[in-house]
Amino acid sequence: MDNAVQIALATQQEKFAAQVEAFVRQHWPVGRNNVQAAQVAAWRRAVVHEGWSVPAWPEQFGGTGWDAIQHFIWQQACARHNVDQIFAAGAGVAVIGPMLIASGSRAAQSEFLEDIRGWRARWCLALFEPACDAQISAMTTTVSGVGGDLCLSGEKSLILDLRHPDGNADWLGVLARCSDQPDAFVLVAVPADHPGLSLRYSTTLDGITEVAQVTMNSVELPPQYCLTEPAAAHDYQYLQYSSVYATLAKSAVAAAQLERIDAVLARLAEDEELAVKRNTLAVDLAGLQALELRCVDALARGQPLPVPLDLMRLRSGEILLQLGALQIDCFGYYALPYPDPAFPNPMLLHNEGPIGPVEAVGVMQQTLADQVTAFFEQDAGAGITALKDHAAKQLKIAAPSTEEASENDTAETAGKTADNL
Amino acid sequence: MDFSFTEEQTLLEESVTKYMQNDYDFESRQKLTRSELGYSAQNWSTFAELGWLGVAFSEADGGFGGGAIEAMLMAEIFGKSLVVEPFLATIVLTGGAIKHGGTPAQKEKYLPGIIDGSVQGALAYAEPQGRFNLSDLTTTASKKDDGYVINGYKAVVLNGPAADILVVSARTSGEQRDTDGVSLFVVDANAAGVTRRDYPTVDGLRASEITFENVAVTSDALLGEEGKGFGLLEHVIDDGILSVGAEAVGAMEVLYKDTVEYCKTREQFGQPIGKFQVLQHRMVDMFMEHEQSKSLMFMAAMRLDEGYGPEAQKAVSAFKVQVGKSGRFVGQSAVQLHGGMGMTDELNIGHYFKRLTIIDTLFGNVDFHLKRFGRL
Repeated sequence: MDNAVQIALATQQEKFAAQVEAFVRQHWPVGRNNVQAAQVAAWRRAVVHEGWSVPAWPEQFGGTGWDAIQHFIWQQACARHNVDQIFAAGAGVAVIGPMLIASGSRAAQSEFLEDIRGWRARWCLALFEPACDAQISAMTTTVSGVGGDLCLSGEKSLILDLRHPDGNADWLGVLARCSDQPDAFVLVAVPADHPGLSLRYSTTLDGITEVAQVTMNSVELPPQYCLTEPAAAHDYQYLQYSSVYATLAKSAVAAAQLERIDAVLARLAEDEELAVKRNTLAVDLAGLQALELRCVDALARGQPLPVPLDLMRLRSGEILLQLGALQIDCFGYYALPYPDPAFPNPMLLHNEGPIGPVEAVGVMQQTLADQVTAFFEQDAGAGITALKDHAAKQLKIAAPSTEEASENDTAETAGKTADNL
Repeated sequence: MDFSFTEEQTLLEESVTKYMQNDYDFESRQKLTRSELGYSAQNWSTFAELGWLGVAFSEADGGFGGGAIEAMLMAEIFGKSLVVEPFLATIVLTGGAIKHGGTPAQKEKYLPGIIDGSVQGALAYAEPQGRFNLSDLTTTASKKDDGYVINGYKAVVLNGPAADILVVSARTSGEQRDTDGVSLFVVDANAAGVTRRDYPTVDGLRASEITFENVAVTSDALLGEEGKGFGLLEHVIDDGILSVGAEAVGAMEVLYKDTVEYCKTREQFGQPIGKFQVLQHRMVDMFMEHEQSKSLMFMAAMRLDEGYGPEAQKAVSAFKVQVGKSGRFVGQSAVQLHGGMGMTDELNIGHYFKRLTIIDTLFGNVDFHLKRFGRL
């Protein structure tokens, strides 16, 4: 019998993987810590020049036409080398562009798509609200005049990357309720420097990542700044999450983190408890990798995913957070030093060198930043509970009532839309 | 990268599934566990007639040229029905040892009988003091004339009561725990000096404690090179892990699905208990544990098919760790979610739970394989 089931990539896929690996190595500076703005700009230029700036978009809009395995290879390589897609390309590529392509007007498409494709315009998402986080149905930001001149009012919070050392956002994608259709929502483009915006910034628990809160009082905008057709809350439920291919490449991020841990462990005195923790996580990671491969294989043949994407998000999130905790375990007391540029302490001057082992530098910051990322990728809104509820519906674990069955159908559609992002 | 089955594999899957659905219900299985033999000789003959016993052997050895994927595929379906016929002991372990380590003459002597279902086998490798250490052996094989004399004791030999031949690990040189100096022998289970004490196991199978007292074998009983049998034994055990792990994956699927169905119909407080969010989330976790195990099962099978070495060993150990953890979680959750019914012997749930519990212990438990995974 011929064994069709095999793990090795086909020759063409291997060639592509080598090409991608060489590209990332050449253009992305190693690691994410201390990457300079000029280096990020050079990376952006290289990716756009290569024609890989919007790989998952339809080809007529500049997409690459890659198959599922090629997408996976690209995402894995980026994850392996710590290229954060949102950080590098902005929310325009992952969220705004696909929404515009799916349901934007021709005027809106011609206004925005080309700049997003060329990574010339940086976008951030204004989804959360102070009173309801990501629960869309409870949002109070409203827009009037959809179909004509727009007028936007409300308050949005937890906006990432509006202001960033490597380049501020040019646009906010604001989710708002239509004033004349209370059950319908649209995404509205708002220039980040619009005089009608009142901004306030705060830092997250890592002390470095910044989130903005924006108040909009009757902000007037032209008709083409309405990015989507009015749609139900479900259609926007997954905006804050990473794309399906990025979600299915998280094991590469975790594997890179485990490699760093192994480098530290190799120099530590033998510690059986740490070894057990490390090996337990390594097995979990092997399981995640295998699951990702099965999911990508299913995508490649147009079959349903063996595991709902929500559960993949949860699983990868859990493993990444546990890896962060293990890193702290590894460094023991040297997890404590936390140089903060905003804190004027001469003892923390860079020219004195790192405090403790060089590998410990930035670890705590990264671990705390991972908590922030986990919030945006899985805990947002009702969080883990909501993801598991949705998975339970997809898996048909509970017999739904007639009303729920109808709602499930809508949710399934929304899930698929989000998966296509 | 490809996770799809070939047409032949799909046909095999359909054939085994159909048989199990039509001819292997839980009540019949329970009767078999209480029968004298402990399994059905008729079923075993049918397995042979359908070609299942030869699937994992090469065409040159009289089989159908399948490999780890085919063995995995069958074992997973067997796990769904808690099959008690000795596929693991006779085909995977005994047949596997001869397949991997036998000379052409040994293969010709033993494999046709194994494949046609007329010969039963057992792998006698474990010893009371050794726990999961395959090289911790007090059983010895001393050279004498043109052969060897085996003395020692083997513990919990699966399918020992029915075995016609035994593959026995014994020390031909070295210290008690050395990996060098381990040799494997094919021994007639009814030879003079072989004494068996047979008993049922908690998961419905049969096993024996076997004493070897001056058991004389000729030199052609030696499998592979003298003193170099440890690698062969590891390979066979890793094949065994794939097989029992796949069984566990099949068992977990049944437990998950049965639990979901039960929770949709069992009512408390005026509604199906499956409406309760906390139970739904527990079932989502059961689903995820099963899927993670299944994914690592594929990885282990693919690595074993690529060739036996550290990569395959590592994948097998990762799979065994996952199966141990997931099996416990899924088994316990299924019993708990079934409430009082889950504890009774008449419901199938408890029997799956017992099989999963034993599978964690077989061939090394979670802790053992976690350490092995870390070493590789």
